[in-house]
Amino acid sequence: MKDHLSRHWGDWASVVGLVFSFLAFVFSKRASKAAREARDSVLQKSFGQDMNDANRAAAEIVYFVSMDRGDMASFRTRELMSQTSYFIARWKDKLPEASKKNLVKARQQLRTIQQKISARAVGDMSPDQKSQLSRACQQVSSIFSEEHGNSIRATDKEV
Amino acid sequence: MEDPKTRQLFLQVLQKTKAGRITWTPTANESEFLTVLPGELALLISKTYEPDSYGNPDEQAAMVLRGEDGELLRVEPGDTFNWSEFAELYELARRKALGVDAKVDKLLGDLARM
Repeated sequence: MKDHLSRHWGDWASVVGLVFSFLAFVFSKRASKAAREARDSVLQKSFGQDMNDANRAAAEIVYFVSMDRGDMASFRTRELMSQTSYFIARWKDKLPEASKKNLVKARQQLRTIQQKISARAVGDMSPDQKSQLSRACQQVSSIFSEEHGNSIRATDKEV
Repeated sequence: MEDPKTRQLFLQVLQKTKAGRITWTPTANESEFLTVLPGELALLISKTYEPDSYGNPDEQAAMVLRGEDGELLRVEPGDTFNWSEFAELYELARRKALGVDAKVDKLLGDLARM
């Protein structure tokens, strides 16, 4: 055995080196996967936070419309419209198609809400017009709430 | 002036709406409906009655394509598509957005049980 080792030590060293290289490759793959998962989890939480903030802002618009506070509703609507454009640009490469569609729908709904509020004071609207406006505001709130829920669910799956 | 590409877009939307592959949503305006198309584009279809110079209601209709930077296309019934084609799409969009068929089906079921 000693004789064999002394004659073939170079071959054995190569084999051991190969084994260590393979193990290093496996561990580096695992580390890279773990790092990718950690990054995705942080992004998911960040998107969830954005959606949670947007949902609160949308709920405020619903409240201001119900209180006939068109000025405040208009202010929050303009703000949320800009934020939604930012969300679309920020997350477009990370989100599934359905979520992107939802955000585009929310932005367009907000634009229509803004036009409606600018055209006539909420207090002067007919009950039907006000109800239509409230439903649109509620839909925006539901969209952000749904996206927040989707994001939490995705984070839960990772745990 | 007829715009072949816009006509193609209109016909595709009409066809896909009939097939139930495009979903429509009501907006804050009672006579305006919205759908989201691929490429982060929103398509709106609306019909309003504005008073003309004599004070009589004048029907105004439009299909509007909006992107991130605002309005990309605004087409009114005329050369690109006629009133009857527009009315068909508008009515389909309205029925889908308001869930008219489902509500009528439910009502028919309720009436049958009365």
